[in-house]
Amino acid sequence: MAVPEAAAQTTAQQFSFTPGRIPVLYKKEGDTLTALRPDPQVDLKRFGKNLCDCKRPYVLNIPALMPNPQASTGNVEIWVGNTCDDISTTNGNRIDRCKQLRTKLLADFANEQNFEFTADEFLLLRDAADQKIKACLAAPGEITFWILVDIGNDGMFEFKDSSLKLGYDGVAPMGATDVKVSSGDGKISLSWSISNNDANQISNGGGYQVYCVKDADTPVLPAGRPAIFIPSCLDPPKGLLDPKYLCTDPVTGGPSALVSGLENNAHYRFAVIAYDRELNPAPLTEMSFVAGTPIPTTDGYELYRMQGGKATGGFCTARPGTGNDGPATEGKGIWLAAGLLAAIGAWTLRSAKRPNRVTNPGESVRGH
Amino acid sequence: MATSRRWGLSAGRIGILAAVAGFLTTLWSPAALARSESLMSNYSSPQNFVLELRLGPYRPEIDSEFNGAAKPYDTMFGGGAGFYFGTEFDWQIFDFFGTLGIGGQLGFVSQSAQALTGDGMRSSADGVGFRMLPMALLLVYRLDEIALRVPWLPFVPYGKVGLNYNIWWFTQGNGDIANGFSPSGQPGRGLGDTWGYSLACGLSFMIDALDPGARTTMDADYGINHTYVFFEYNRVFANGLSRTDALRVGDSTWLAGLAFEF
Repeated sequence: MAVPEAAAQTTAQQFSFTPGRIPVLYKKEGDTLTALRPDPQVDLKRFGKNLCDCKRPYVLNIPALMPNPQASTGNVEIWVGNTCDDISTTNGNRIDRCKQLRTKLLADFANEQNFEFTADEFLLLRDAADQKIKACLAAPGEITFWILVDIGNDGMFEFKDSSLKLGYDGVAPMGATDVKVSSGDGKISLSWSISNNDANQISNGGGYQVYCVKDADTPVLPAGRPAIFIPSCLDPPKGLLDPKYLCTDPVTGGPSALVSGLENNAHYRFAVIAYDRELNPAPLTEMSFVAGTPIPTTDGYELYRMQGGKATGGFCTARPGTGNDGPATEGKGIWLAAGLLAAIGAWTLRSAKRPNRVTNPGESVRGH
Repeated sequence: MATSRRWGLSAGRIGILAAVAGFLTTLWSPAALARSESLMSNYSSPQNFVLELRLGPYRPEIDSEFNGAAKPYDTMFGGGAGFYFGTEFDWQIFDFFGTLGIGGQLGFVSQSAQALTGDGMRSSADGVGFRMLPMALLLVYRLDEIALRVPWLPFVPYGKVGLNYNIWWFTQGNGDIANGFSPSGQPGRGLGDTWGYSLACGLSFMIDALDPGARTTMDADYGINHTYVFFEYNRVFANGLSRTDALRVGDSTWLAGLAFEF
C-alpha cells in the first residue's frame, strides 16, 4: 500500500517503545489475561463472528515510550482501521475507514498502559455497500491497531505503530448435510456431505463437533471431554448446543465420525456442526440432526462358533487337545514333526562343510 | 546299424541324444565359460544366506472343517482372499548342484469385512477381521547350478518343505479379540494357534543376469551375490496336525517376491 503524502511527512520517529516490548492483545476471562500475541510473528487470524457478537473482553497493552514523555504535551491516540495515520482526504475521510478507540495523555506513557475493549469495538470492517466501517460484518478482513503520538495536538504524528494486526472471518461454513447413520455394536458411525468451500475452510484449521443425546435427554458422555468449545452469546439450547452433549473429540479429518460407548438398542439423536478456523459455527438446521440405534453385530469368530466350529482358541496346542466340542487328541503329530525336523537339522548341520562353489556365471570356482 | 539295434536305439533317438549331449557340452564348454568371463567380473563375495520378501493372496481354509455344511468364513469375509506379506531367511549350509538351506519364515495375513447385523446386513460401523502370523521352519533346496553356468538361462527352480506354526486371531467391531459360543453354549476365544506343515515349489529369475556389471557392483558394495524375483506355489497344511479341534488355516496359494543371496 502506498504511503500517503501526509503520513510520509511524519515518518520521523521521536519515540520508541521500551526495548524488547511490543503492543500485545490479551483475551480477558475473569481476572485471567491470555496473550494472543506473545510472538510478533504470530498471525492473529482467530476472530470469528461470535466473538464480535458476544462482546468478549480484550485488553490491549501498550509499552512505555522512550524517551520518557512525562514532560511532553500531547496525546496518544489509539485507532483501529486502515491507514489511520493519514489525516488527509486523499483516501477519503479518515473516520470512514478508521475508528478512534481511546485517547490518553502522552505523559501517561512514561509507564505502560492497558486499555480494555470488547471485541465488537475493534473488529471493524468496511461495508461493501457504503464503504464505511461497521462492526461484526461477516466478510473476511484484516484489522490494524494504530498507536499514534501527536505532540502538541497538531495532527502530525511524531510516533506511530501499526504492528498489531488482527484477522477476522465471520463467514460460517454451510454445514453438514445428508448426515447418514450406520449402527454398530455399541456404536454409531456418522458420515455426512459438505460443500467444496466448507471442505477448504475445515481443512484449513476447522473441524466438526458431534453432539449426542439419548431420547431421555441424557448426555451420552460426561462433560469435560476434550473438544473445541464454540463460544455462544446465547444460552443453550437456544443458540449452539450445550457442550455437555459433545460426544467425540473434534473431528478434523474426513466428514465422518464414530461414536462409541453407546447402549445397544437405545435411541440416540446426533447433531453435526461444522466450524472453521475462526470457530464460526455452521447454522443448526434440520439437516444437522439425525437419529440412530446401536445394535449387536456378529464377527467372524462368533459366526464360526455359532455354526459349530470346534476351535476354542488358546496356545500350546502341543499338549493333548482340550477342545470342548471335539475329541481329545494326543498331539502326536507335532512331536513327530518336531523330531523329524530335529533329525533333519542335525543331518544338515553335520553336513555343513561347504565346498567351494561357483557363485558367478563364468567362474570356475564359487566363493568360499 | 547292428549295434544300434542291439541297444534298441533308432536313428532318431541317437539324434536326440546327440543333440542333448551337444547342448550339455555347450553349457560347460570352455568357450561358454570364456564368453561368460568376458561379460562378468570374477569377483564374488562369500554366499551363505538368502533373504526373501514375499507377498500374495491368502485365504485360510477354515470352512473345510464343516465339509460343506456351513461356510462361516465365506459368509463373513466373502469369497475373496486376504493379503499375505512375509519374509524368509535361509542359511545355505550344503551344496549339491545347488544349495540346501534351513530357514525361517514370518508373515502376516489379514482379511477384513464389515460385521453382520442380525438381519444379515452389513454394519459400516463395525469392521471385523481375521489376522494371522504364519511362521515356518524350512528346508530349502535351490537348483542354481544351471543359472550360474549358463548366463542365458538365469532361472533357479527350488522347493521347500517346512513345519508351520500359525498364531491367529479374530477381531470384533471394537478391535478387541472376538469371543464366541458354540450352539451348546461352550465359550471360545478367537485367539489361538495351529500347527501344520507346508510344501512349496517355485521358480526364481536371476535379475542380475540382465546386468552383470550391476551384479558385480552389488556384490562389491553390499555383498549381495544375486538378486531374484520369484513366483512360488505354496501349499500349507495347517490343520493342527493330529488335533481335531484346530482352526484350519492352511491354504493353496501362490506368492511372488524378491530374494537376495548374500
